[in-house]
Amino acid sequence: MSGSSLLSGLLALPVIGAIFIFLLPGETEATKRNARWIALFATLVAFALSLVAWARFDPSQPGFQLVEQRDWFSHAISYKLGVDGVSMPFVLLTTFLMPISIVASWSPIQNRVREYMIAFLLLETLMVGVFVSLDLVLFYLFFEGGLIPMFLIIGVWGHKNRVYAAFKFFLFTLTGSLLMLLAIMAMYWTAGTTDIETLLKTSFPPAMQTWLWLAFFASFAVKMPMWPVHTWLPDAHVEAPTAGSVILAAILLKMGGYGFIRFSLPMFPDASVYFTPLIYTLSVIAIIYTSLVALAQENMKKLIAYSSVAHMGFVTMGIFAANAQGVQGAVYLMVSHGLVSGALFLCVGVVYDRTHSLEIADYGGLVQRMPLYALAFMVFTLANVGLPGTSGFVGEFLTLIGAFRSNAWVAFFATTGVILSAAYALYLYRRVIFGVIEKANLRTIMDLEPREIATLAPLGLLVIYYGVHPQPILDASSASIDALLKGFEHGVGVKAAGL
Amino acid sequence: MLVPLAALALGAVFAGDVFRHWFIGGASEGFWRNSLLLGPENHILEEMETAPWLVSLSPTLMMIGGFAVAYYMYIVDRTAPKTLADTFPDLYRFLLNKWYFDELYDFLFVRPAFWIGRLFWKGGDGAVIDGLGPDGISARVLDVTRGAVRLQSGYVYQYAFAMLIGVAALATWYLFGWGR
Repeated sequence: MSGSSLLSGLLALPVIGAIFIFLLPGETEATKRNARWIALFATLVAFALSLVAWARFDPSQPGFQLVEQRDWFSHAISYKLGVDGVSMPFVLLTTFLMPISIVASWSPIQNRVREYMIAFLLLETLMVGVFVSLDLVLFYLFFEGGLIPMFLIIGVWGHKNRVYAAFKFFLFTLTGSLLMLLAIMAMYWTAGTTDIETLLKTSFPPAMQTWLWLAFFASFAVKMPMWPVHTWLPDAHVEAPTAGSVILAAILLKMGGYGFIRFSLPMFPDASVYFTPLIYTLSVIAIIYTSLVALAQENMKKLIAYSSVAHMGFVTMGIFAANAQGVQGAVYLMVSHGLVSGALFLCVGVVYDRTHSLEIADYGGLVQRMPLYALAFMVFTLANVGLPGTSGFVGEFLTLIGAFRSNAWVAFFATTGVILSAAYALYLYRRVIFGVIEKANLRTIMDLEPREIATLAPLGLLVIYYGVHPQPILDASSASIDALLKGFEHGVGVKAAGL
Repeated sequence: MLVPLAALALGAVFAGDVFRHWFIGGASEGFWRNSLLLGPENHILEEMETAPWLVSLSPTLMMIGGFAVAYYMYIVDRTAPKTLADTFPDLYRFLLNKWYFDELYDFLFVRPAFWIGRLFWKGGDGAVIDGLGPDGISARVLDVTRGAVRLQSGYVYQYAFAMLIGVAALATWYLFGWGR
């Protein structure tokens, strides 16, 4: 495969897998087995292909690489793909988590396996597409398109209240995104193109920036999700099947943060500076408010969902600190949170598959029957808290440094969130794992089986590896982020000089 | 277990005497060099060395006192602790509960945190954000459509009456010249 169509290949592979599964006949056991294996094979090959892309990627270059372009609607709207240091980590995160999600769905999903696997494979294409698009219209298509498979995954394979959650998820995100579509049109009329590389060099008038920024904000804030448009997330997580929660928390949420870094900051620098106090306020509220709410939760998945909102508060705070530490920390925290929250939802899935309960009160004393599980759960709980030595620490620490350089009070209030995160995470762990087994159905509960170890072990290793050796991710993204921030400062400087 | 304990005990007893010269004594300047930064007016290390003998002996004296009390209470007269506790019951409970620090923290931090958390969850997320947001909007839409459904009664005379009202309103509009 030539370097120029590598990313297209990455987008096409899951679709090809989905077509193969679509052609399988009926709903027999053999069909189910084949569907699972095809999905696993397709996602593994996609992961391998993304590793090839990573190998060809030169982290010292700040610009877009592996670029490919074909005309689409005339010359102005094109099919253009490419990666830079900001998007490369997310592409790898996506392709890495997909095979894990397929394996995690192996035995829990027993009805409509074919359709489930097709939905997941299409979702992979759409998610990777979001991160590699270099055209705004293409980006929008992938960004919105991802809603459909996730809507189906929650609505069809979810739990009891799945329809309410699926519609809430869909309506929230769609409402935000439609405003972004308007902004994309406005940008097209102004700049004459939707090419992201060109738009990054275009400077929009400050008044227009404000409106465009707000429109993009509406979309990304919901996706992130930021307070107060976060309430779809706990419902979606609780109702989604395990692998759906993993992908939702690990990748779909990151699209908001990615959008802020890719579009809001470099394309609308004046507006970003103007709205930084708003972002800071919402971030700090998100961190403290949702941490306190997490403390009061009685449902495991809801607790982790609220904890995700709190962590995304650190991400938005770091991004709009608009300095190297803040933005790098935000990217790092997003990757780390992708691994950690994904793993935590897998951990919840492990016990849910055995007892079919998500209520914290239905557990207790699991360490006595499930020592391996207790170990895995502890690693990810501590990473969620941001303990030094885990990947969670690096990201939180960098975003806090970045915020401190920009506004010490914001960093101060955000730090209280770290304390609260320790409180709710350890409280959850104590109630589920420690104590004596009192529930009759827990007396015979079995420890992790090989399939579950296969899903949790790679995540655990990466969480610890990136906790003690953060350099690979930082190196990959630093050149692009430095260039981005130079452009940002230049953009703000131009306006200051003009006045 | 006894061997490591012995090593630790030896260190506990003699380490101070062995390292005293380097840590706070005459050799301390060469030992710490720049890692312990002292101002030019700060002579605390020398003053420590030349402290009155009673000061440097007081920890030892306290230890001996504590040892004697413990020996009396737990070996000589083992009813003494109970008598003491019965004589000063309030003081005993206060000390037994670690000055009630855990209860104080529970009252000051833990309970309020859970209370606020539940308030934000049920009130903030549930009543305000969802209530005014998606749930509220969908409930209002249902109200409006239910009202609209009631208009479609199927009775011709009701429809005719509605048309009559419309015609009357239109005629009034033109009669008074508002339409021009």
